[in-house]
Amino acid sequence: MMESKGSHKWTKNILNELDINPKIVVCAKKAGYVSASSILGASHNELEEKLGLSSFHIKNFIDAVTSHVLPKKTSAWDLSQTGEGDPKHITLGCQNLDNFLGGGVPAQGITEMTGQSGSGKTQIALQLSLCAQLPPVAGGLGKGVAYICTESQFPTARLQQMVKHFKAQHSKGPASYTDGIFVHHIPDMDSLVDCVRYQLPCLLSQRPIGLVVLDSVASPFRAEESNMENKNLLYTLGYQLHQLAATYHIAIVAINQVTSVIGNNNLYGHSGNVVPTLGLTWANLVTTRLMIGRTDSHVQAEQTEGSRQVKKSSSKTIVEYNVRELEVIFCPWLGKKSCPFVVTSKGIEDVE
Amino acid sequence: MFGSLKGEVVRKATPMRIHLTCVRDLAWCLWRSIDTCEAVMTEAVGTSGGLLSECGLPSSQMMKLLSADFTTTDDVKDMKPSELSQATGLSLKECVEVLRTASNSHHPSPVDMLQIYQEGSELPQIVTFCKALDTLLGGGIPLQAITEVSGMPGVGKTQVCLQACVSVQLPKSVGGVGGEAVYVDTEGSFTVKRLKDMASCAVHHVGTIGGVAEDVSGFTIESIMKGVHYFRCQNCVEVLAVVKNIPKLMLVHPNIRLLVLDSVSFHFRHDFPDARDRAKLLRTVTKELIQPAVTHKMAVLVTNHMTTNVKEKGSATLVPALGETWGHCPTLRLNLSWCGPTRVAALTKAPHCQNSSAYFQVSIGGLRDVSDNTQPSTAGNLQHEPLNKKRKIMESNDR
Repeated sequence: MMESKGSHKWTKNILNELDINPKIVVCAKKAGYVSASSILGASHNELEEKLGLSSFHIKNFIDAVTSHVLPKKTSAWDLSQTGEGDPKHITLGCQNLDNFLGGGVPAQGITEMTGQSGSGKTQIALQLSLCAQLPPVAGGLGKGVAYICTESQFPTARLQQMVKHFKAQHSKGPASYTDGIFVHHIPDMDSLVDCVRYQLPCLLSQRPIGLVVLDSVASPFRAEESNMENKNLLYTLGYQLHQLAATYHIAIVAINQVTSVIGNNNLYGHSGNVVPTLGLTWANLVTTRLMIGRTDSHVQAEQTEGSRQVKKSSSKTIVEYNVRELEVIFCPWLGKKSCPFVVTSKGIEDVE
Repeated sequence: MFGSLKGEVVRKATPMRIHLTCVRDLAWCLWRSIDTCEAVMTEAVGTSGGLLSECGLPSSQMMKLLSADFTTTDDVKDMKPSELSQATGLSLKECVEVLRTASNSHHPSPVDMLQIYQEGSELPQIVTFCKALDTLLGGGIPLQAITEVSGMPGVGKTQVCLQACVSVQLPKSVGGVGGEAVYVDTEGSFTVKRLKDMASCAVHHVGTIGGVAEDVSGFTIESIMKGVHYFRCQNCVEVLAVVKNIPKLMLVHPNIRLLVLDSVSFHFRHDFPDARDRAKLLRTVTKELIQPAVTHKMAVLVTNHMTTNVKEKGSATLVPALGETWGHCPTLRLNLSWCGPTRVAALTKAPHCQNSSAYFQVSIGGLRDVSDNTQPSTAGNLQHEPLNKKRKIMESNDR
């Protein structure tokens, strides 16, 4: 269903939808020019010759096809007035990180979270999965989440733990957070591409989904050989995600791994000894690239064990958290900067 | 006076050809004195319309028109269909079409080098607000040319595009172009917020250097935002449609002087099993991009992805995507990359200036020069005066 709407709109027969002289339609059908791509891809002279019509008719024909496929024109001013120009954001549940990212994770293009193993990529993704379900007034989208796991089992226990704290903090959220998260486990590259191509559009058209998490995009592709065919598949995957993001106005969060670099491989203007994997093919598709890393500093905080109703002074323990850093590698609307945060039992939290 | 002679000229050498012939050749061809021929040429240039044979009429109609001595669009301009039908023997319906085609057809008349040179030197350029980059480009992003900006993700391609959208609207009285922009967004990386940031800095800048001219006071954030016409294209056919629609759009917004395509490669790298199909579509896009650039004196700015080009020996280099077919399209190719913590732009293809490079930075207000103390101080860079104004001052000194 989605296929016919999205990528194949330009290869299907559009002649009957045009409001033009029937004579032109007959000639075009006879000459085999039925799709928007073949008509617009042909030159004026070529059409004139193949269709055997006058220049005036051909001009009419091309104009009709052009206005048929022409996307809507708006001005930047209109966009700013209607609020369409600035994407909706999903809050991360912490003030500092939200301010840092200009409101949270944008529902525009592909947002990549990358970082070393254990840096907290999945933690942020889980937190986002909860926040996306908050109503718009609370900074969410009020919609469900599609969570595609390729690396390991979906961390259900951790999610339950976070839900418990999250419910206490946010009163406006849905009754059950776990019901709004659709988890899908994908073992390999081919099924991942198939899932994003066919299953995901289906899900998006049937359920209100506001966020798609791909945890991770790297592992299925890294397991395979890095040849041209696989690169094309990767491009297809990213391209399809872009189409879905634009069609349904959803946020796409793709988690990526990192790889060490030897020497000064300064391609992204990022000074570090690791770079995100999957190379240029993928990097070209990423709209916002965020990198998470651990820092050397720690903060101490009091942690309350058990439920809040039962106040036991003995359960309070001092815990030390490793401060992590969320860094913008590139983003069309954000400068290069970084912001600290910690991962606690509640989820992601600001550093005071 | 030259009535009979003009008839002879039309028969022997069509007015179109007179434009291209030199006086001496004409004199030889017609056996007249050079003075007479000069007069004929002036008249031919002044009066003749386009050739009917170039309007794209079917050959059967064309034959009848020619045999009835109708050669130029001027000949049929003021005629009624019935008159033309009587004179040529064409059906009334055909005559209606001939007249419509003749009145719609566009006649480019040949121009000489001097005229091109004069127009070219008067043509303003779109300043980038980064002096080093402007110098590199020979004054800014040129009109009537296709400029390609390629580079790694995050190096600032979209920022260059947004800056150009703001810069193209700088008022004429401060040496700007005073135009509008079309933004074709394929990747969804366009943000109103960034445009607004850059617009407010530009307005502030013009406010400090500009005088009291009318176009300066009309230069506001709102006017800038209204002057950016935005299209979000979901596939390559939509891109093609937008580009083909430019002449029509120009009728409504005649001030458009910049077409941004960000990026050209996004759709064209996807889903083309046959490389020839892609090459053909790319050539069509190329043709459609050059046309508005030249006829409407428009600057075309496209961005391109980078890709790795593996050489035979196993070494790989980074090159702009889309291959050789596309490589012929842009007039200027600008490659952005990182050099340590600073961004550097390198000109790799340019007919009019030397291939070299320039440092630039992306600040909140847009593109700026790299300041010595490496602090992104927008205030210091805002002193930068558009280059065109300078050139005008230089010209007046010459006189």
